[in-house]
Amino acid sequence: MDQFPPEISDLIVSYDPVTLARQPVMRDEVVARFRKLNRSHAAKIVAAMPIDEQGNLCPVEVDKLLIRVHAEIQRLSEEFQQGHRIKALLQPMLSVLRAEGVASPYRIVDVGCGPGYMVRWLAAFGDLGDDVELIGADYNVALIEHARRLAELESLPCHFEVANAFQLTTPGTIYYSIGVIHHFRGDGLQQFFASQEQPMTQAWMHFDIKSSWLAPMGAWLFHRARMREPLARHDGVLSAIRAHPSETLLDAAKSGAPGFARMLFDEDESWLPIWKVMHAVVGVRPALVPGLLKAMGGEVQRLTGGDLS
Amino acid sequence: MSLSPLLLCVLALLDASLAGFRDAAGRNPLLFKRRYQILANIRGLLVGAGMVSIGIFSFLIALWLSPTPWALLNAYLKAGQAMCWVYGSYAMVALLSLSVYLSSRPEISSLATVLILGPFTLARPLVILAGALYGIWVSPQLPIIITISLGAGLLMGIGPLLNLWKLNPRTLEEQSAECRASSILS
Repeated sequence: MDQFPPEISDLIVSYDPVTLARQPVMRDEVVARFRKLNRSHAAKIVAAMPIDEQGNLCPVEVDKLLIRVHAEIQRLSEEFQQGHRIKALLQPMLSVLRAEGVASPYRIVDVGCGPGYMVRWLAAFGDLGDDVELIGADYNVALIEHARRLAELESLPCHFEVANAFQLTTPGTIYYSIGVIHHFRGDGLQQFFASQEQPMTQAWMHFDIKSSWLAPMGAWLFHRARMREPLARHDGVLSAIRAHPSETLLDAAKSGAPGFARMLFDEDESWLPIWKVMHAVVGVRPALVPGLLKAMGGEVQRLTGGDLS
Repeated sequence: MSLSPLLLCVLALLDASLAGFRDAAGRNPLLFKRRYQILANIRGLLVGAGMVSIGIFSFLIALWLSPTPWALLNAYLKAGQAMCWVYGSYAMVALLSLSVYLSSRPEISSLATVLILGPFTLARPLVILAGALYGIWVSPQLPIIITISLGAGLLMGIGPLLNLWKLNPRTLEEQSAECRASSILS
């Protein structure tokens, strides 16, 4: 039994797992669920959301809210320069794929991309090469349409699909996500990693808030200081509470995706964990590991743990 | 002659300009938005200039109405110096952190944000209050209490006012147009 309550954004949208069609969500049911979990603040936030005649949360309004929330999340990613962290891993990984003769184009897929900030950032500033395709996948049609519009406005070479990222017609060569893995728990987390066991997939990296005693406090502070939307403030703090410890991530990756060598990126083991607020669990095909370590150069010490120990 | 009134005005304008930036931040999902951000700073600065003018006006009125204007002016300057210590120290640490943030690699930038920039944003209302109370404590006279309270209230209110007036563009179309418009600021 998971002791961590769900985030508001987990419950105010629902999709058919097969068709990905949006399903109606009864506001009163969500409110009742949060009340049952003693999450009165979350219940209050949901209770204020507009509904249609049947009592379902109005999808258009929910999507508008999610777009505003994601803009605020993007602001935090900009401030913490998240793009540079991913770039620091992606560039050496791509150079290894090229050196090992893995067939291009290399499809880099953002899992649960929302409005595609990181995909667009990589398209603009990633310097990843012409043999790379950048793809963002998400279930939410409105967020994907928004991502497409944003990419079009700035003429960025990337594209977005309303899809399960792990069931694309052509699978990804590299999968990554940011702030997604804490939404998966228990068997779901293991299944998340298992979904990447595809022949064409060479590597994956999933970034999230680093779980620590200080993380919830830091998340509270930053979400109070930087966010406006009550939902963003609520879910941001809960994300830090729900962030998985590194060992949980490595164990789930080991059982879910045994075909990959696992490691951690930007792990911070200090007693005051403020140096690295984000970390990533990384998986690479074992044959690529020596090349990756070499390609990382002076940054190689940022990779630790797991199968590197 | 003390420079504290001038320094207080400069600090207030700087704070207003940063409030303009904060009001615009987290609303525009585009990547290339330097012009949008600079214009947000300018909008904050202009609103701040209006507020500083109100503060100066109240100060001048107090001097004009006072039977002993020179004594009151000295008391104002004493309060101003005290406030400068609080606001100046806060601003100096914030600006130093900002320069570290802007000039370093991502890990060091993140540290500047985690340790200073984020907490300082949250602490700003308390710092405004602390500076005001220190000024009042140094020169506890009614005209000074009124001027300082008015100034502190205006500083506290600039964020909510910018939000209420919606001076920074809200829709993607407006934001995109502002980002793209050709100008020396682009």
